[in-house]
Amino acid sequence: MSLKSIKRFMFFISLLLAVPSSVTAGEATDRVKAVSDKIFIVISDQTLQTPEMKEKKDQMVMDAVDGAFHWEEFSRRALAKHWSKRTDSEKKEFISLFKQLIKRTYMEKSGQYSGGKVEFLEEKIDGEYGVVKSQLVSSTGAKTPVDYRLIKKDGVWWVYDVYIEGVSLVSNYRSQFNDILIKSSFDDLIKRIKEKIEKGV
Amino acid sequence: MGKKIIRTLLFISCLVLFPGLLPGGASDRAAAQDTIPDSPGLEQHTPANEGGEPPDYFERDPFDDEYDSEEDHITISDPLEPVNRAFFVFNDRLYFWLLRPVARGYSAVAPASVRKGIKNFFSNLGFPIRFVNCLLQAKFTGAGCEFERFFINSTLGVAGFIDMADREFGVTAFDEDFGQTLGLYGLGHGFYINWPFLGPSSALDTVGLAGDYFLEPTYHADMELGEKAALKGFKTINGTSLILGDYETLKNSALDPYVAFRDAYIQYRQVKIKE
Repeated sequence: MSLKSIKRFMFFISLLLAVPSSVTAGEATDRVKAVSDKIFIVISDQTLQTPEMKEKKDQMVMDAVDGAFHWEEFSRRALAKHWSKRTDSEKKEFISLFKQLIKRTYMEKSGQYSGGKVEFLEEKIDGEYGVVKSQLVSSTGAKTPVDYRLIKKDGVWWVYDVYIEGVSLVSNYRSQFNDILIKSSFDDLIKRIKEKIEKGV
Repeated sequence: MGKKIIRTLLFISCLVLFPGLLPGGASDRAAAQDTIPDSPGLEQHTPANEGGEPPDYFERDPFDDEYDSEEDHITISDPLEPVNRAFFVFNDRLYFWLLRPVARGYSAVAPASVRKGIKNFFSNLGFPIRFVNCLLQAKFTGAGCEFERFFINSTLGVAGFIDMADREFGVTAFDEDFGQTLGLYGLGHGFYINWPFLGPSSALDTVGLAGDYFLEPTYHADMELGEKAALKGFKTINGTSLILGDYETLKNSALDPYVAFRDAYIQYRQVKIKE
């Protein structure tokens, strides 16, 4: 083997070694990236953009989000001090409703970024908790910072909150839920979430 | 120091800083609309600890300290809620009945690149607000960046239409305003105010807004009140045309839009201080 081919071989080996570390930015990032990749495939698939396919498209986005979002964590944090006062069946019902409420928002938002892209900026891990910072870059170049908060459960990372422009989704709902629970009742809260979901966007 | 002296000083500093650009323009309040630090007005609310219950809904989160948002749920007192809600309805109708249709029509005529350029132009005129407030907060790096940006964008960026400082030199804006400055000096946020036309604010931010007004080029420009209002209106329409749909998204996702916007405002201001 000539020196040149050895060099080339060495270069190739070093590439092989270098690629995996640069591709895997981190487990938590990979987890979020998998969801956003799936969503972008769905919203950029022209065959899914017709009104007849809307239901299928929505379902595909929902499945992608379901794979990495921990709805019980979302619900627990959004109800905060009111969580422990609920019975198991009430909790179950709430999780299911809150999930539908967030999905509505998420789908509407994802639809607006059909011409844009997602950039992953950094990942911070501290024990069981992680933050993945990203930004949505629209077709006009406008940047929207989106941060994901993750928690590790049985070795798997789960999203439990999303921050859009620094505003926490969970905290935003917590304020609203708290306001309703203080002024009214849990039954009323459930009723209002149901109405909101049925009304559609 | 009397109010008059401060005003004169601010006016002189404006004159010194940009003699050629005084006529025409308003500062970019949207870009400069930011922050107040932890203050007595912001109640650090930890619901789980009320009534002596253990904080069972939440485990430790190491990012709490850094981002201050999860467990310490930020709220603001709202003694004017009935009035604020009335103005929320007013602003909502103003948006859907007037601002949105006009901004839509305008965006159909003017290309996005042009509207972006106009936004940059207004933003560039907001330089004195950001610069002076950087100085008042002893953020000298920020003040330096702002000065550099103003210089580069006013010349290479063709009177501010192109953000050359960011694009070519990677120098980004430092969004500081008088509300943040006062907050840094230890003044509390006070209570929530939802102004007609202007939207979400607080007692402190309202004072800040009034202070920054004297740094706006339009304040010193020789213009009729009607002209200033028209310019402000144009700036608002142009800005809105670039974020059409954002208001609708948050409103549609909310169970109680009024509370959702109040919370988003407080969270947003809180994040800005940390920057």
